[in-house]
Amino acid sequence: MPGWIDSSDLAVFLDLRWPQSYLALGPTFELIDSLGISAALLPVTVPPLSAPTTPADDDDRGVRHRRFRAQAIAREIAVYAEAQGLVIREPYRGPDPALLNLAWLFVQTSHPDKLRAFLFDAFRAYWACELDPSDTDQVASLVSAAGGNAAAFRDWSANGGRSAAAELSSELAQRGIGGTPSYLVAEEYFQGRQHLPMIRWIVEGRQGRGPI
Amino acid sequence: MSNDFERLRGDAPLAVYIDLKSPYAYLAIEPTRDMARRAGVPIDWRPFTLDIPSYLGSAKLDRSGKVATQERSAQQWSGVKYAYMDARRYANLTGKTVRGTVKIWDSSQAGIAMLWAKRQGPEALDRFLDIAYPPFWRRELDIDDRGALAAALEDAGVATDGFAAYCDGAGQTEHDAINDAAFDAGVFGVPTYLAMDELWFGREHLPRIAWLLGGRHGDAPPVANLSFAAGDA
Repeated sequence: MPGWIDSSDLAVFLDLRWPQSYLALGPTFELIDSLGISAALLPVTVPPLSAPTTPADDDDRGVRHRRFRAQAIAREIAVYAEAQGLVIREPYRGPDPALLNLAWLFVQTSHPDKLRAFLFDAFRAYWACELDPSDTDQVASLVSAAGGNAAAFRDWSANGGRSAAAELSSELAQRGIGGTPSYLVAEEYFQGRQHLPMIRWIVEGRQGRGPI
Repeated sequence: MSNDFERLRGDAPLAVYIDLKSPYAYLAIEPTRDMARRAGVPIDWRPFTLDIPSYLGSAKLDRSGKVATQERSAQQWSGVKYAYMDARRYANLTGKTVRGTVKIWDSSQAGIAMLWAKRQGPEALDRFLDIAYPPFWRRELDIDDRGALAAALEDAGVATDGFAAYCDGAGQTEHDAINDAAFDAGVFGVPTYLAMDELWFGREHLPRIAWLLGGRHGDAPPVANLSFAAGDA
């Protein structure tokens, strides 16, 4: 029986708490739709994004390097979010995403046709600072709003859901999946939405000159 | 965006910081040239010598390729291994070889050689980059060896009379000034692009650079690793 990761043509790994995952959501679905492939969008949990540090007199080069990188990432998020018309507030929050991820797996399993609506709702609400992903009532409402059965989710999350999440975690660890957004296609692993042209090229049979 | 970036860019419409020891800078040369050609702007290539141990830990391999000495965390190793794997698969698309390095190079002499070539014109620098990058990434060019760098310059048709003195004097001073000014303004990696009043790290931003240089017409493009070669979309 295939696991979570190998059940589709393309596996996509996203952490709700990473702005880059939100920025990847729309373009990733556009790619999936235009290629007409099956895809498994799965939750992955990585350490939250680091905020730029405040300058101090004794900063060494490494500290300054990490600050400049964090500042560049912040600019990138702001610019590309604006280009997509997305609202991203408080990008350095790091709440526990476990309950939201359970809901994600529940919808994926029980109402796969509702997953897209669920993810767009969840990411939009989280980045508008309207969703606490650890709040059971709020998460159940998201499931319901996407067309899922909230009562069934509550039951599942208290029973079989945890083992399902553990199975996914085990698969992710075994495959060395640790980035977000990241992609697995034809046994090749990619980190970042900049690889979407390469993923398209691979799925379409590597015809012609590849994107470089 | 900060005006610091515009000041650092200066009069050049497009400034690009690169380092010979970065595989990502190597991969960026061709699409950057193609993009600039399409945009009709010259490229002001500038050396930026990465101080890798300061942010990624240090490591050295023995002759068998095993780690001999290292001060890296598991997370840093994971990032380095992914980066090389990623660079290699893109390099393969254009017939480039990217072998793993056996140590962290001090590429400042190579940066000074870039500046030396640049003094003899942008075409001279382009030729030097084309001569130096491929063998370095095949492990056939020792960029710690000033003589090897001089030979590469000569292969590129760049006169080397005075190169040794330049390395010890004005070249080192110029290299250090460029690096200090870049780092103080926020340049931390390569390739880094300065266009208009924006700074971007990574060739995945070339679509945006092209959009900026083209007058911001139409919707702002997303990040993407793309070819800008003639005939490609």
